[in-house]
Amino acid sequence: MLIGTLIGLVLFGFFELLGLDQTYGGIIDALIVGTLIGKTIGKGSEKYTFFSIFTYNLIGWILVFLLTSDGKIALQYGGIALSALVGFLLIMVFFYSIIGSFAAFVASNLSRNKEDEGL
Amino acid sequence: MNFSEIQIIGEDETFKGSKSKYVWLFGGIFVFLCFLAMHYSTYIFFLFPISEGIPYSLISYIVVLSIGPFIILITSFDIVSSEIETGSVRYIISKVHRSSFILGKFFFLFLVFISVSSGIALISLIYQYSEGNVFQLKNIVLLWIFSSLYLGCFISIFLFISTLSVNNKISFTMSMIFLGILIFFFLQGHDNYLKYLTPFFYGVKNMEFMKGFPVGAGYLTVFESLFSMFMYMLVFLSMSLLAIKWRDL
Amino acid sequence: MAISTKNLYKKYGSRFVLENLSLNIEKGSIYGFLGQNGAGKTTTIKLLSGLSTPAQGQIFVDGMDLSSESGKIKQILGLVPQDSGFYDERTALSHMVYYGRLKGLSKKESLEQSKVLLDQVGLGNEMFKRVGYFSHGMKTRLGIAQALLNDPKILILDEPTNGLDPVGIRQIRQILRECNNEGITIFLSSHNLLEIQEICTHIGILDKGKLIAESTIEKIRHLESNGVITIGVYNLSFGMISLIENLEFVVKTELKAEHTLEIFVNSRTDVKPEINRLIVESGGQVFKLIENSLSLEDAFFDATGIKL
Repeated sequence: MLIGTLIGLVLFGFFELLGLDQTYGGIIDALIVGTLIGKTIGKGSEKYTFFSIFTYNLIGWILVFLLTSDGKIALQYGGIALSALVGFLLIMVFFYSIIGSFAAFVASNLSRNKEDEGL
Repeated sequence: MNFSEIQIIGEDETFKGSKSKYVWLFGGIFVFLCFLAMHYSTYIFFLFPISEGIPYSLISYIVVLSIGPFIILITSFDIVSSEIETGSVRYIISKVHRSSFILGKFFFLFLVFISVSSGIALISLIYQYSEGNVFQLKNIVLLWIFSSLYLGCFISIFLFISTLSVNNKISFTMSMIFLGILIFFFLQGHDNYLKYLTPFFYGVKNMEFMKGFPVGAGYLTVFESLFSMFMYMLVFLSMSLLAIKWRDL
Repeated sequence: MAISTKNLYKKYGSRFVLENLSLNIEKGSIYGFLGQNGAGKTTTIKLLSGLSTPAQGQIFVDGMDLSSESGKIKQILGLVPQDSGFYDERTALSHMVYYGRLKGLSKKESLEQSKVLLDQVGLGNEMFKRVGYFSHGMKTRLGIAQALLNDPKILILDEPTNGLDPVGIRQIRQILRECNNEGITIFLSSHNLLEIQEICTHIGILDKGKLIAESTIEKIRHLESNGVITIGVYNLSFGMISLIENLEFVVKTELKAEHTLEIFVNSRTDVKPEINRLIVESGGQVFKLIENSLSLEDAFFDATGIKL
């Protein structure tokens, strides 16, 4: 989970630097991290993926707000505007986590040589 | 791939499905909702400013677009996962090819919902005829084909998720989650490429053909749309085949 | 050979559950696959029946490679899995007809064969009953009946007598003997030694994914030792024990009490006079000298160090 978070954070920064659209970047990042964690952990990887993606997105966005010029401008607005932005971001991060968890589910169940606990 | 094995599995699924009250209930609900929408179409006529009378086929199609995915989810989320959960899959896979198992299940569901689409198309036709509207056979046929392919896309999606799942609970949860993801992708806006990953996009695009069939080179766009939906179905079906092939049972 | 495997490996993740498994199951035999829980018996059965794929190695069934001719192999194989996975709401006959059709029989042929097989396994009067109302023993018999559809050459059973009462176990044994008499090769897994002893002609012992012994039932008994001699000596000393252990036919000794020693021997001739002479020459007074043949349980323990 820790490695997934770190990889996610690195990719988050990478996509930010590239200037990739945040929706695409967030989804691609979530898919990559989800697939990695799903293949590595196997059964039960969905919840680890969810927390991992949520964590690195939170950290990433906090860093964006604190370190980038756009982020600092957004912070200056304060009040309702900032709350709305944060709320929107939380919803998007939640969706990325869901997408990543689904990717982990597919990756863990699509692997060969997986002991079938259900049977 | 063995066609007789596919046929036997599909037939048995039909036999099981015909005894299942849920198949009849949800199929019936589906047809009934379309019937209701057409029956009260005069109240929603203002949404379709078309001079050629009430577009019964378009109204039915919109009901299929909106309700169809949920009906498919409920009827097909456990098509493979229930067999895996109970262990009955071992008796089948020890006798037939794994691909036949998946294809048999898929064709059963596809046939069921083609029948449902036929029922909806027939009701549209009857309404059209009874209201004295111009006979639009093209629209009825398009309704039938587009509905079947649209529902086929969701059948292949939920079949794939069911194949991955070890039990019905996980299958249902993941199916709901994936449907939510598709809706999320579709709602991302016009400039977003994510909508191309959803059957909703192709379904909504087909509505244009229901409003007025294109002439000349426009036929190509219809085939393009049909081909896209067919490919979408094929991708998820292939993934289901891959999933069952790699899986230890 | 009915079934043979060559250097079979199976792993889940990074953990090997089967290592270098090379089985040889003769045609017409009843092969007992013995091992503790978690040894890899069910995994082996899944590999042999095509429910699972090996990480490495080859499986041949009736001379055909399972990886390339699985369709043909499935037609000559009958599988009885450990847990019955029948549909509760369907009747026994309905199940049989369905599985018969999957095995390539026509509906009519499937119906006819199903009725005969259900009679054979003692479910003739229950064929129209829903399987949900069946007892565990009845489900096991139904499992065997469906495996016998379309006259398989090989029958694979995963712990068929698990959870059955003595009457049920006897019935299953009888059915399997009848099948074997008709020329069907039987491969069954169990951790029940008595069952293996009663019915099997050959045995393989699996321990932690490795085949540690494979032979006929009789030869297994002679694997490490073929007999145990219990000797009672009034003035038994460690010197005497050491002398006994140096005898070439002695596998090991175990001191059971101050004056009682168990000697595990591997010999085709009577060794009691030699042991007796050795003890007397050492100054010992023998008051008891009894020979017992080794049970399969003892042989298993000798081979694995594990008590079942």
